[in-house]
This record gives sequence, C-alpha cells and structure tokens, in this order.
Amino acid sequence: MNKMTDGAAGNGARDTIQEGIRKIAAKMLESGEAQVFIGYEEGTLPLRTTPAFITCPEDTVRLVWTPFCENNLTVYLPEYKGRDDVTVGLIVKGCDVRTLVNLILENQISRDRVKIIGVPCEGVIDRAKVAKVLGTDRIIRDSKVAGPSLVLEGDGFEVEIEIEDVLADPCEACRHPVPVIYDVLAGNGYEVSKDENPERAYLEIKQFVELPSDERFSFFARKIEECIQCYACRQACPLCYCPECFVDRQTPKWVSRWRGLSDKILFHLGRVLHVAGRCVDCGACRRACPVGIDLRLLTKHMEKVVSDSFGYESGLDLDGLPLLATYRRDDPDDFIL
Amino acid sequence: MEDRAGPELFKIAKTGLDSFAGALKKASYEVLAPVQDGEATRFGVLSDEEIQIPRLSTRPLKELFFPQDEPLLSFGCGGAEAMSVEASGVVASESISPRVVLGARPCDARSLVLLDNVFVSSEYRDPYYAVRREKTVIITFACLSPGAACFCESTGSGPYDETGSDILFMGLADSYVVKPVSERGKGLLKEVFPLSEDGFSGESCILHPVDGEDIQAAVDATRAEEKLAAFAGVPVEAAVAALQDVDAFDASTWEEIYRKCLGCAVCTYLCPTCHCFDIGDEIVGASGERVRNWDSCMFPLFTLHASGHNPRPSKKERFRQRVMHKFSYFVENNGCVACVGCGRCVEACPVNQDMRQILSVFASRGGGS
Repeated sequence: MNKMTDGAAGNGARDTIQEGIRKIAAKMLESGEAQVFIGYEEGTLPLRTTPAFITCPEDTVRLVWTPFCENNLTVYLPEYKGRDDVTVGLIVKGCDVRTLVNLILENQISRDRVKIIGVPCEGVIDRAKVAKVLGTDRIIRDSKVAGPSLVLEGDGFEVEIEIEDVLADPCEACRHPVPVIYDVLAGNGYEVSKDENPERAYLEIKQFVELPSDERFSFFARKIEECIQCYACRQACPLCYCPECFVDRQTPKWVSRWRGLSDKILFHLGRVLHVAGRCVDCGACRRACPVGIDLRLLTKHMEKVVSDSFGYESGLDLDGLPLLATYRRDDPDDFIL
Repeated sequence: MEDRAGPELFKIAKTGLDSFAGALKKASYEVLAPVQDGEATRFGVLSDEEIQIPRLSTRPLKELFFPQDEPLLSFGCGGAEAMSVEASGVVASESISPRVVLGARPCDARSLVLLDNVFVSSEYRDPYYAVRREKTVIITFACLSPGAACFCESTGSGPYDETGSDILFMGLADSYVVKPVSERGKGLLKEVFPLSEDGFSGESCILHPVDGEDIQAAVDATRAEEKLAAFAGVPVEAAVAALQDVDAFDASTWEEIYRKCLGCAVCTYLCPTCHCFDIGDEIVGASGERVRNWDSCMFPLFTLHASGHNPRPSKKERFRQRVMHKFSYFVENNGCVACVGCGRCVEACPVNQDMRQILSVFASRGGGS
C-alpha cells in the first residue's frame, strides 16, 4: 500500500503537486515546448475528474490533481502519431508512464514529441469500492478529499472514509508509484512509499489460479457472458491502439457478434494475449467496464507468467526492447499448452 | 382514462411486493424485474429471489424488446450444387409469453414510446419488437431521489412521468400508491386482483382500493417542486434549437468536445433509446441464421463502406452523429428528443464525457459557433 511519507499527509502535498502541474503546463504552452497539454480537470460527478485538452496557458488553472485522476491519459497519444508539428505535454502517474514507455518502444509516439510531467502517485480511488462501502442506494452529491480521508455528502448524510480503504486494486500493491521517466517531476521532493513485496500483487489472483481448470473456466465463462461487447476495455487501454482490431475485421471475419459465448471469449482471450508482456496493470480496462467485469484476473495472471518465465517487467526500460521483440535460445516454453 | 368505473387508486405495503409478483406469476405472467448479473443489474426473469428495485438498473429496459442479438430467420443451404435457401420465418416472436415488467423507472418506460417511433411507426412495423411490446405490461416505480446524473425533467419527462407505463407505483413511507395508467394496466389489476365484496382485492388482500384525494395529497407532498428541480437544469430546448441550426453540423465546438471520447460503445449500448443495429448471416456447415445485433455509431465499422471509404473517419464525426441524432435528426423525424435523461451515458462513461454539459455548451453558444 502506498503511504504518504509527507508528514502533512494530505491536501498540502496534493495542492503542491497541483500547483506544480499548473505552473509547468503553463510554461510548456507559453514557451511553445508543447502545443497541447493533456491533464485532468474537475469532473461533472462526485469522485470524478475528466481529461482536459488545454492549448492556452491561462486555461491551465483548470488542471487538478486528486485521487480521482483515474484515467490513463497516454491512451490519447497514438492519435498524435506522425504529427511532427505537435508536441504533447501530459500528466503521467507511475503506471501511466509505463504504458508511455511501451508506446515509445513500439513506435507509436516519439520521445521528443512528448513532454512528460511525472506525478508521484499515492493511488486512485475505485468508485465501485466507494459505492460498496457506502451502500449502493445512497446517492453521493459531493465528494471532497481531506488529508487521508474522503468526505462524501448526500441526501441526509455525511460520511468520512479512509482513502486507503477504497484504493483501486492495482494501486494497493503498486511497486512503481513514481514515474520511471519524466521531463519534470511535480511536487518536488514529495515521496510516496511503494510496495516492496512483488508477490503481494499476485495474491488476489493466486486463489483463482489454484482452482481446478473446469471451475476456472465456468467462472470465466459466467463473467464473460456478462460482457456487452461495448469494447470500452479495448478503447480505454493505451496499448490497444491497432487501427483495426481483429474483431472489427470483415474479410476475413474472425468474430461474429452472435449469441454465442465463444466469440466473446475469443475477443477477451485475444486481447489479453495481445497485451501480454506489455500490460502494466494500470487498471484502465477494469475501470472502463460498464458491467463491472474484473478483466484484471486475466491480465494480472499474464503479467505473472511473463515475470516468472522471462523475469520481465513491462514499461520500465526505455532503452530495452519489448519482450516479444526479443528471443533467446533458452527462453522457457513450458507455459505453452 | 379519468372517467372509468372502479377505484382510481390502490395501495400496497412495501413488504407486499413479493406477494404482488407472486400473484402475477400465478396468473401465468412472466415477471421481468431488475436482477443482479454479476456487478451489474439488468431486466431479467424474476425467479424465486426477492424483488429489489434499484434506483436505476445498469442496463436499460430496451433489451427486453430489442435484444442485443436476435435471429431474424434461419435457413438451410442444400449443399454446394443446389444452394437452396429456405427461410423458416419469424423465429422468436411466437415464443414470447404474456409478461409483466415490474420495476421500470419512468425514464425507461418513456424510452419505449420513443422506440415505438422507430419500430412500430406508421411506415414500418418490426414484428420482433412489436410482438414483445404487445405482450408486455409495464409497471413503473416513480423516482423519489435523483441520481447524480439524472436530468429527466429537462427532456420532457420526470420522476412521475406516466408515459409508456401501464401502472405507476408511487412510494410513500411504507407503502406504494398504485395508479393504473392505461386500460391495459387497469385490466391487469382486475384480472389478477379481482375486487371482493368487502372492497379488498386479491386473495391475500395485498392491494387495497384507497380514497384518491387523501392519497393524491400524500403523493403530491413527495413530489415537491424543489425535489423535481434536482431532476432538471439542462437547457435541452435551447440546445435542440442550436443543433437544428443549419450551421451546427460544421460548428467548431465539435472539435473541442469530442477529444476525450474514447470511441467505445458504453453510451450507446447503455442508452435506453439508442437503437441502431446491424444484420448479418452466421452460417455453420449447411445451415445458418440471419442475426440482428446492436451496433454503435461510435465504432468506425458502423459507416465503413465496402470501398474502404469512411464518411465518418474520426471520433469527431462519430461523436457528432450521436449528439445530432438524439437532439436534431430524431426531433425532425418524430417531434421529440431521443433522450429520456436517465444519465446512464454520463455515469458509465469511462472519461466522464457528459451529455448535459455538451447540451449546455450548444445552448449557450448556439449552433453556428
């Protein structure tokens, strides 16, 4: 669990980071270092922020930094591929920057076309967890962050809950809260602690992986049955940038949108294999799912297979090669069925 | 509906809902209610579980009438030499038994009336949709507490809107006031809960006729103006006027607002009024089915031509289409917006793209901006 080591523990540090982000972004746009800046601004619902595309330095006052900054903004970068006239400034958290490293390694954006403001991240809030803690019938009208707490107001109630209790799953066992690369680090000197135990991250899937295969399959099939094929998981994933996804291909047609479960499974397995060795567990797919399917059960397991087999952790090394672009004669193959 | 004989209003204890559902089942109706499906809620067959009416189901009511995928006909291909294709006719519609939706919200009930414009208009009659509509009685629960994204009042609906409902349940402290809205709703109550001589109805006396005036006063108290205001506040009319402006299509505002859209289909698939579909043949071996399934204007494939040309090449054009269809083209064709203000698109959007905000921007800037 990330704990803020800052004694002031709370809005003091967040406000400093927010102030830093605004100043740096304004400077980038003023000096022409970046033509557009992508950050977060106040959302229209409690517990939300929303991506902001800012081009005027004076608009940088809209930028915010809170535990509601859940989106991985690197998802927008492939749209700027090949745009030599645009340098994009953007805010990245510890996980987001790792997808950015992968996008650079995979030639989706060039390093000199991005200006990175790194933010030491103490984790983002999982809205579904908040709803569960509070009770789904209680409608939140306003949410405020106060130090380590979240203050929720609704019709006839005001509840204070610990942010730590409602952090998103990937944040609970985050090992890289501080971005591994950046041009500027906001909140200078501000430190967040990280989870030092690599196994902790896999605890949540351990139980599932140890089930007999038929039980795993029936659980998986039941969850995938709930999928409505909106492809929000794919669209929210920065690493799902194929101009044409295999499920959209018409000639040949790989996937029908039939009643059958098998096509839904094909999509999800296809996707998870496609991000194997690339996924950084930012949680964007899980968060985007409108029916709450925990796709991380698949991606997290894939991450473990990659880690155990190849000792590889995705998105940490800008000078390395993507896992699937390397080959050694002694590469293990025992995970192949 | 005002001058019919018999009681105008009934009352049922909140604890009597399961018995109410049981009575419907006993009368051979299939009862469709909000059911849990994993983390989400959607309308499905209510079996033995207790009925729970969520503030708003995750998935909209439309899928009971216009399912995500549905075979339109099946056929056999008689082998390579003789490709004889034989349509077996309408597959699904004959298998629909009489059913009751128990626990719709007014926004969802209204959405069906909007969908009727498309599926059972004077020009077209979609038999698959039509038969489901004909065989379904809609029982709606008025809303007492708006969600953070609700804006039904702004779209001409409201938390007590009766449009599309056959019977309306209105909540008081520990009971519901039951108001038959249509002849059909009234007929259902009569059939399932026949009045006995002592004035009580139904075998377990769960539904009581009540004095209209007293009850109406109690209901009116729960729908106070300030409460309704929470469901309003979005300038839909002004936005429609702006979007119907001839210059709206090319407004520079689109450039600004589309950017954060991810291009997924959450908003369209969870929308109770979005109704676009695709039709394709799915063939395995010597037989196949012609299947209709939901499609989304957010997907590039939606308008991709066989030539490779796409008239809506980027998210900007696709996003514009969604807004324009709901608030300009549909208005032109049917005289009302294709939105009931349920707020699902707002709440479920992964990037908090907010239709209310978009409408406000167009309302204040006008279409030519």
